Amino acid sequence: MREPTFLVLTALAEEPRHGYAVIEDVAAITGGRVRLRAGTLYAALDRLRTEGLIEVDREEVVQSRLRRYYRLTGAGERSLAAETDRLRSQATIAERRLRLRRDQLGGAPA
Amino acid sequence: MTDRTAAKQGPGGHANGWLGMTDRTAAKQGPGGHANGQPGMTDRTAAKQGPGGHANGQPGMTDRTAAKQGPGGHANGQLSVNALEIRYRRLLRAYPAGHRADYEEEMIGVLMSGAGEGRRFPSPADTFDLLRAGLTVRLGRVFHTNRGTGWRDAAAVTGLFAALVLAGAAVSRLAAGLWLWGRGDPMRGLGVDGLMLADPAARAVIWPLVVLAAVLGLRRTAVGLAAAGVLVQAGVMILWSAILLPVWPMFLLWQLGLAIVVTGLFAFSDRPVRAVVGVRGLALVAAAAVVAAATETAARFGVEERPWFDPRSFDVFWDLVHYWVPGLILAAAAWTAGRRVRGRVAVLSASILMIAFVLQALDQVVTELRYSGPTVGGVLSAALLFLLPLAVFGGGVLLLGVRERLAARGHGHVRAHE
Repeated sequence: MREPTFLVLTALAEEPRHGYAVIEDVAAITGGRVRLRAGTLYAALDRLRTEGLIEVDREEVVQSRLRRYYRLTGAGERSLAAETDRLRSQATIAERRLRLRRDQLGGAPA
Repeated sequence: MTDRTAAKQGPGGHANGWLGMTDRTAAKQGPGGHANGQPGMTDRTAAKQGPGGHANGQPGMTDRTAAKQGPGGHANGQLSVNALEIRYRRLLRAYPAGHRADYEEEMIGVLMSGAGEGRRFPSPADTFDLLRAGLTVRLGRVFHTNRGTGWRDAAAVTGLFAALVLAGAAVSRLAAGLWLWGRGDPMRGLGVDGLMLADPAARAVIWPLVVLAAVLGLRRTAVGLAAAGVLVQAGVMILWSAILLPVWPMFLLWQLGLAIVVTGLFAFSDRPVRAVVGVRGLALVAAAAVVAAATETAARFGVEERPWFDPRSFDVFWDLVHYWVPGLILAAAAWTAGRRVRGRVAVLSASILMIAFVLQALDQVVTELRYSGPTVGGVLSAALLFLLPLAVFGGGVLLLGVRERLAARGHGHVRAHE
């Protein structure tokens, strides 16, 4: 799973969101590091919809603009959980090795 | 007055002094700033302003600007007509119509929300992102309808066909060589005793092996053997260049080209041919090979010189049997691969035939260049010649796209809103 996909699913895990709200939430949870652009966002949304990981929650018209809210499906939830586990196990390994390295080298950089 | 000037005005900002005033001047106005008699403004401009200096609806202001300002001078873009939005919509044309019907309004909303106040043109990064994503969807529709199948399967089938042609060419050449050999080695005069058979013999070993590996479903082996075939074909050309003249083995160039294509096709494919065309398809491929071998043998024994019936129609009949019947049986084999794959096999086969044709024509082009030197017309026609396979492939892909879109529409398959 590529990072934008993971972040979009994470944004939708909290509550159904429309496109622009997803962009803002992704920016917030990454501390401003990732600001998705419309093309990238809708490439991910379209693919996730096709794969059945998200679905349309509702549509609203705000200031004559269409807002479509997306929500996570059951499959999306499982997929996000699996990816989260994978990332966590990798992070754990990296963390353990870094700790070992620090212990062996006595805290001094090599 | 430009859009930007309007956008830069703060809330409640009146667009005073709009005539002949630059963006910068407007920007300098604070919230609620009235520009009457400010330094830097010409007398003429000041004179034209009415008392109170409120600019709303003044002549010379375009509708578009007025629309952007909205009540209280906010650049809200509440009316749908807006230069930036028009530009975004133009960019969204990079997407196919189906995708636009699904997402255009929504994406415009996101893009307009994301655009900072005062933006008149899409940012280069947004532009690039939209074009890239739009073209990816377009390409994806062509190459990945139903998640990635189609082209790779077609490559497996077409690879087998091309390998079969190479095997046929090699075996037929070897047979002809052996027949000549029986009457005394014609190459003896050139001091290459026996070498004449080495070339077709090597080719007649490698290509049937490639065909066998492909039929048995040993994809990696087929790729490796085909790569060896490329080396054999190149080696044969180098050999004859060294013995004779460098230009002489040009007639073998199409086989080298085909060998490279076969290697590429097998490397690109991800399923064995048998999984694509089934046992029935493979039986048809075998039938085509048998028919081709039979007609080739008959041709070797000079059937054309001894017509069974009226010689004029016999020529047509024989050409049909000799070249078209095996081709038609192969087409029938491709037919068993199903609607999507068979179209792609047709496009790939046509492109490969074009490559073979171009490489054979290249022989003539080179000969012409050697005798008459490089002329503008000669170089131009050579360049056009090389574009032919690309044109055939591109046209084929385009046709497939149109056909599949029409088919999808016919079956009511257009992705609709939930």
